Amino acid sequence: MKRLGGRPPLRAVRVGVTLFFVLYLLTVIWPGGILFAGPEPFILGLPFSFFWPTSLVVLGFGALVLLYWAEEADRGHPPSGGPGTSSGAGGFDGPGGSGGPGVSGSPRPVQELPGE
Amino acid sequence: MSDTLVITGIIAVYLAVTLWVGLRGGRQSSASVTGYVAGDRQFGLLVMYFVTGATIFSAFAFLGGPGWAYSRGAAAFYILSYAVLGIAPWYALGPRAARVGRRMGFVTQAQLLVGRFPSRELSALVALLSVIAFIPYITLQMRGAGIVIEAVTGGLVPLWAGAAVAYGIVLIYVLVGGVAAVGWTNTLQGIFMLTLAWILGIYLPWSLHGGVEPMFREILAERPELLAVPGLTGGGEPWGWGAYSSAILVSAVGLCMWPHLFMKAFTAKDERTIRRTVVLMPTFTLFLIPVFLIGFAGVMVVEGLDQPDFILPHLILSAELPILLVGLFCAGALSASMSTGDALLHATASVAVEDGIRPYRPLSEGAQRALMRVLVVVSGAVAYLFALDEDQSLVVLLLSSYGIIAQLAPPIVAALYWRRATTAGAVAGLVAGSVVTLSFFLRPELSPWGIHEGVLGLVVHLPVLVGVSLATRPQPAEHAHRFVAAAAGKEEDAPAAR
Repeated sequence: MKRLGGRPPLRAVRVGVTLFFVLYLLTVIWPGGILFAGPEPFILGLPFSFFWPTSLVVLGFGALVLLYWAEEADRGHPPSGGPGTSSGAGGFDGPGGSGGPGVSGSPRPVQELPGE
Repeated sequence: MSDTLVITGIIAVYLAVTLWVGLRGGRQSSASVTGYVAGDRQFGLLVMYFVTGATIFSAFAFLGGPGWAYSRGAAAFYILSYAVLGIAPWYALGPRAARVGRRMGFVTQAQLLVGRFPSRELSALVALLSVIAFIPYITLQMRGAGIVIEAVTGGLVPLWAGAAVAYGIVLIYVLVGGVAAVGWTNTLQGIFMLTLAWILGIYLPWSLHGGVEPMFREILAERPELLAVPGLTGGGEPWGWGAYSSAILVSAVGLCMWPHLFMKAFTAKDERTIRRTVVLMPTFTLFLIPVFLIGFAGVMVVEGLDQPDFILPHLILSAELPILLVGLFCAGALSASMSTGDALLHATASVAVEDGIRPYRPLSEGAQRALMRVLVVVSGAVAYLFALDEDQSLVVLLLSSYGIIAQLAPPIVAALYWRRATTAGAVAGLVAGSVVTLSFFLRPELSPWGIHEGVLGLVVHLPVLVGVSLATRPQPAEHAHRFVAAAAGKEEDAPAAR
């Protein structure tokens, strides 16, 4: 399956996202967590010790969205709508007519890439 | 008194609606065992999203979260950290498990394990561990429901009676509807929880302290120890980094190993649905923010509450809130308890029958369904007995369960990824890990740096799994290769459906 031009290769995204989550872990447990454990400064009204894990949740969401889009693009699904909106809530959604070659109209929406 | 009546009325209406939705959803699933356990693999994104969210965030988050923030401060942040770290691996694991499950007709976690590591004993062991872990988890949910009802009625309906009524209703719809009912009621309850948490999390700090930052400034001036990770223990002593870090680790490893969550891989409509659910999960996690704000809002206002888990209902009832909102809140908190409780009861019975009994004794479909229903009632009753005695905090109850459930992670990962893993290795690792976990659970004072017993179990589990696997004869290459290939979605290599 051909990758869409201008996107980072899926593999790079996967490695990047995995690295992000490893770093995420290291900054919340000992010993890395010690650096982010204090109450000050206050950010957005929250003590830093609260703000830090909160911002990681938001960044974690971003990382997962990125990974999802990269995979969808790689499979030939247009990533336009994002994970929340790209399909009807209950419907079995096909590739929406604009899928990549070999996917459109296939009853199986998922085709794992070789080399995973 | 009329206020109590209004609130009780709202709760009654809420419970009735829940029951109706549950019964209605139940009619749509087929009468087969697959239908009862796996909801005919027909859940779409909306239902999946709320099922998963409502299942993860339970009375534990809704009552235990504020309870911890109130009494133990920053210690509660471990929940915020593990929730996303725990769900992220599911992005890779979930679709793999789903593929193998679909291909080979698995409906439980142990079936997947045994599909790779053929051993009845392994199946029974997984069933046993799951049930042991489930009971305190169900107990927690029942106590949660009881706490809400007792607090709301000012003690008029005590914890035992409140828990009994709420779980009587849960029992009815679980018995009638199976997992489809669970899905539909969780959708309803998930929406409830999200909305109310945010309303209250913003309203309470404003009404009590004039805003979020002023509230934290006040706490910083008076009780600075509450705002520095890792916070305090239940007794008010400083909590250790070892305990805090290992709580995150064990919960993150264990999160998607919970059979009721894991089995969602087998109920999902397709793999994209699973991936999307994972991607959206952090949006559910953000709901812990208002939950903690509610707990912190109580710190300077409520002095030394005996049972910190009561802080949320306590604040709600003492703040001058519109009565309708109070009623809706109570319904929301109840829903948090019930939506997890139903999934847990259902999963406990499914696992006990499918994995604990069926490998030893073939049962007809009808007998299986009947037995499952009996076990739903039995496990509910056992958990209820513990709910009456237990005076542990809700979070502590759950954290103990996680030690056991985390032991399921190594064999699952090995089954899906590691061709060289052997049955002997999987069984030996699981036994060693569980024994170590249970030993340190019983003698926590022996644990170095207060590290969670589940992490110590994993430290022993992993080398045993790897060592014994390497020391025993490899599985027939074809078997291991086919299984891992099926998980990876390579069709041509896949074994035929069972």
